[in-house]
Amino acid sequence: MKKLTRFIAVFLYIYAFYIMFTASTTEFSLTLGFIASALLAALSTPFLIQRNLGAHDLKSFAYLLLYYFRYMIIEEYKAHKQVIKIVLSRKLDIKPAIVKVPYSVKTDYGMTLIAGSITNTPGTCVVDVDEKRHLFYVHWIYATTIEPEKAREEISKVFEEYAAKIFG
Amino acid sequence: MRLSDIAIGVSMAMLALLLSYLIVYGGLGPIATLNLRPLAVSFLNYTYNPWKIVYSAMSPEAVTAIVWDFRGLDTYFETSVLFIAIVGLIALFRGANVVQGVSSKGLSIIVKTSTKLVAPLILVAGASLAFHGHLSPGGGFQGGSFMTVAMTLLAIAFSIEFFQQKKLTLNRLLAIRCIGLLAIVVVSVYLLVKAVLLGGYAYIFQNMPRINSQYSMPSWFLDRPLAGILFFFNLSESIAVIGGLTLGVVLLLLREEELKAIIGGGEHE
Repeated sequence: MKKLTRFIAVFLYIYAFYIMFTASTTEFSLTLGFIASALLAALSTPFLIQRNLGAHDLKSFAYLLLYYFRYMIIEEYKAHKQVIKIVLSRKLDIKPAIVKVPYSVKTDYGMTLIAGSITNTPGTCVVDVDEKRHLFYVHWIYATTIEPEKAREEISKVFEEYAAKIFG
Repeated sequence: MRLSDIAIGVSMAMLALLLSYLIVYGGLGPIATLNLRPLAVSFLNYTYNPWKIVYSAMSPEAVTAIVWDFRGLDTYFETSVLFIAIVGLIALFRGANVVQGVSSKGLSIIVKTSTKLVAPLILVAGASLAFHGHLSPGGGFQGGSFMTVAMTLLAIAFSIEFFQQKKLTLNRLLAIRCIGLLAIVVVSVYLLVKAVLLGGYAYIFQNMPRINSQYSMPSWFLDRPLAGILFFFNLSESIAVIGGLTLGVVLLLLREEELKAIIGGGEHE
C-alpha cells in the first residue's frame, strides 16, 4: 500500500509532464502516455522516493506551489533589479567574492531546492557544496559581506525557510 | 559613444539591408514557385488518402510516410549502417568492461538530485516523440536520441559504474539494441508471413492493403490514425537507438584503468 502511494505520486509527476509536453488530450496520446509513464514510474520510484508518503505531504506540495510563485515573482524581481543596475551602469560597480553560506536542511531535495534557487537568481551561483560541514560555496557578484551567517541572511534565508517546510 | 560602436552599428544595419536585398531579389537562388512538381503532388495525394487506400500510407505526416513506407527498405539499411558503426565501436573496445570503484563517484549531490528528477521526464518526452512520429514532426530516431540524452546525463552525473550496479551492463545495452532491430524485421515481414500461412499475396514492408493483397496493418488506434507499420517502426527504432547510442556513450566514457588492459598491452620486449 505504501509502495503504491509512492508509485502513484511518481506516476502523476511523469504523466502530468507527458500531457504538457505532448499538448494533446486525444485518447491515442493519453493511452500510450499512460503506458509509458507507468513503465517509467515503476523503474524510477525507488530512486525518487525512499520514505513513506502521508497526508501532510499534500500540505508540503501546496507550499511548493506557493514557493514557486513567490520565488518567480518576488525573489527573482529583487535579484534582477540589482543585476540590471550593474549591467546598465557606465562604471562597472561589482564586488565579486566566493562566500560560505551554511544550510540546515537535512534532505537531498531540500538542499537541491536551496542550491537551485540561489543559482537561478542572477548575481549568485553555487559553485560547490560541502556536505559534511553543511556549507554552500556561493559566487556573489556584489558581496556586501563575507560573514557566513550574514551571507545566509541576505542570500538564502527565504529559500531555506520554504525548503524546510517543503522537504524537511 | 566611441567610433567602434558606430562602426558596429552601421555594419549591422548594412548586413540586415544586404540580406533583405538578397532575399527580395532572389540572390540566394530561385524562390519556389506556387506550382508543385509532380513528385510533390503525388506525395501530397497519397500520404493520407482514405479514398485510395491501396496507394496511401494513411499517415498525416508526409516525412514519416516517405521514410518508413514509400522508401522503407532504404531506411532499414540506414538503420543497419548505424548498427554496423556500433558493431565497429564494440569491436574496437572488445573485452572492455566497466570496473567498480575506479575513481569517481559521480558529480555533487545537487547535480545527482536534479538529474534523477529530470531524467524520467526526458525519457517520457522522448517516448512521446516516438509515439507521435506519424502525426507530428519527430519519430523513432529523434525519440530515441532524445531519450539517450537522459541516459547520458545519468552516466555523467552518477558515473558509468551506476549503470553496472543497476544491471545495465554493456551486454544488456547491446541486447536492447538487438531487440529493437529484431522488432523492425518482425514488423516488416509480419504481413508476408501472414499471407504465406493464410494464403494470398503480400509484400515485405507492406503497410495498408495493396491492389492484389487484402492484408493490412491496423490503420487506426482509438481516435487517431496509427498508420500501421509506421507506428511500430518508430517504436522499434527508438528502442534500437536508445540501446545503441547509450552503449556508444558508455564505451566512450570508459576510464583509463578499464582500457589499459585492452589497448595498452601491445608492447613487446
